[in-house]
Amino acid sequence: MADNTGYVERFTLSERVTHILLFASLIILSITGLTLKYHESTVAQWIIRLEGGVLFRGQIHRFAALVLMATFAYHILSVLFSRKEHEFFHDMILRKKDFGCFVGIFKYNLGLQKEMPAFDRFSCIEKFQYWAVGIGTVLLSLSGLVLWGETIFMMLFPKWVLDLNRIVHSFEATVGFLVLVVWHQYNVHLNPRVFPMSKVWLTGKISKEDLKRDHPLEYQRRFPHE
Amino acid sequence: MRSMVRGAVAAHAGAVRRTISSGSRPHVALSPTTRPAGLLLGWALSCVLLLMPSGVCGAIKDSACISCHEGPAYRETKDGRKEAVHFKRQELTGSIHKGLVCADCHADAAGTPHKKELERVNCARCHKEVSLNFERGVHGQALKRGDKDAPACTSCHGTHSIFKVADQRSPAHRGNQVRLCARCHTDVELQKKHKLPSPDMIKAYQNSVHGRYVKEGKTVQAAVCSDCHGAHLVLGPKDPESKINRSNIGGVCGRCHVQIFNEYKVSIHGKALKEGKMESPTCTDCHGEHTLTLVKDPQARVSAKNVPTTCAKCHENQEIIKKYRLPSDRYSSYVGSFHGVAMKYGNVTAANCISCHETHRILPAADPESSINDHNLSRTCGKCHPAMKDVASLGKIHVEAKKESSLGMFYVRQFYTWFIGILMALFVGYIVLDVYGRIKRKGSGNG
Repeated sequence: MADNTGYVERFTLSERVTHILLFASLIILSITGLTLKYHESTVAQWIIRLEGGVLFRGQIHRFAALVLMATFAYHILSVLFSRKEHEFFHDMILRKKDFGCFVGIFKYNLGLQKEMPAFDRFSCIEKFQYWAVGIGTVLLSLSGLVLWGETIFMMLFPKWVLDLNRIVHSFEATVGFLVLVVWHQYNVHLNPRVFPMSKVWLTGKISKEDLKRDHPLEYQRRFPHE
Repeated sequence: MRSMVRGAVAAHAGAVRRTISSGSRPHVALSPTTRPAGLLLGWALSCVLLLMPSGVCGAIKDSACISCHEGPAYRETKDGRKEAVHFKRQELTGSIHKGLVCADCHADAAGTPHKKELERVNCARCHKEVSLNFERGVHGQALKRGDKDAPACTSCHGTHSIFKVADQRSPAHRGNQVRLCARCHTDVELQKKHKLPSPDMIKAYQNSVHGRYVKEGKTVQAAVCSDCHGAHLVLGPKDPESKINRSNIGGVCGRCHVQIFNEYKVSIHGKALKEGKMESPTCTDCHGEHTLTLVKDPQARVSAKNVPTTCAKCHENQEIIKKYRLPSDRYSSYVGSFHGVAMKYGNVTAANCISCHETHRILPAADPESSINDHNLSRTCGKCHPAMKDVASLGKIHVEAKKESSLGMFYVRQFYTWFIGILMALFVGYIVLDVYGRIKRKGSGNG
């Protein structure tokens, strides 16, 4: 597993491509979506003009949504049919201690606790972000499809369902946007330790040193004799 | 205007008529003072032979008048100057009054030499009904008060060269009328002096669809001043008899726009106005008065882009909403909807108020004929969404995330507002603590 340079693989090529497709589509969706949500602001009006008007904005949004949904489907299929991805998903499953680890992190930072909680392959923060994006994608895709086929769904549901659908789409997108822009960006970009950027998403490799410190349980599993 | 009035005065003072039968040249030889018999003969002749159209026989033969007024007749002006009071026979060419004799109108000039200041010509002697109307109108009232600026009959119809209004030579003809009224109504001084409406209205009218048609010579197709304001009985908008009173405007526009007026009459607006709910809109409230332009003009109050704000003038007016218990937030809920946003960003084919509620025949949803009645939704929505068939009911269309209009949306919004708030507090807390921890550990050599 470990090569001679002291690095171990953290993300496979497939996972890295999935990540790139995911964030590329999400960035486009955020820009085109938020400008519609905040269509009254001057900035939004400027961006909408940049996007080619309110109708073309919608087309870009739906195209990016298709990319996101395809990426999501690809990920599900990988998890189901590839051993490696199956393990990836298995490692992502939230366990009881993940809910308590935040308290540990807070305590550690406040100096009330000597040690950082020990993480396995994925820290509780990474797991929460993974699930936030996963659930968000499901909710947004479903509500988005309803918005897309508004005529058909108008005939199937009373309008209040569609009204709820619209407002859920809008707010759920805001939640996802904030999770990724505020929290995730801090953890992988602005965090002083990785600033300006953690390169794991590009190389897919993590040094043994980092692994030992950030994911001690995984390190112990991988290198039980060191 | 002043020149008009002056013209009128001149007409009273010195106008002379000749009869058709008096031939191409007048007989200058007779002097009425020295030849009373001849005068009498002339009078009798005119009465018996010429069958005066007005039925009033001139007491003096026109030739007598012309003998002076084609020549040396003058009057003294206020500053003592002598001013010629000429009459040219050509003035009567084609005039509708060419069959009258001078004294028919200038009755007090029947004897010669006549007195220095003649009375104002009284058109009412023949034109009784029109005069009565005129006197009741704002112009007639002003004249009665002695207002020198107010127009008299001659101001609009001319003095000797009077033509039928249908004749293009008449100043009151449809093609000339706007210019005629504008002579006074674009005069800024007169406007200030008499508190007339702003001269801008004439300019606005000239740019309006009616004004442009008139300019292009399509005078039959377009309304000119008198079509809306009346010709003789011109009244202010507050007078219930006025053509431009709120209750009467529909009928005035409806004279030409028959189909539209019929639709409007049965609409909720038309009915309400008839019931005396004066806030209810009539034609001009949506289309403007003098400013009125075609729907396809993007500046028009009724252009697709401007319809929502035009309706909002009343439907967002809290006083009107309360008084008539109208549903509120119609405009704000539209503006936030997909249709509203699309419209705002220039997609003018997106639905606006009238796309669903109809243009003139706006009916309440409960009316089975209404475009927004449940039974008609498939057709109404289907105009733009042809796939939408068999829609039984949509429920509330105008909703906002407010307790009054949509409880579901309200609670979802409440939930997310709290959720996002707490989430953000946690994120920021996390980041702050993380930075704090790092700095502290670095300080203690532990980082």
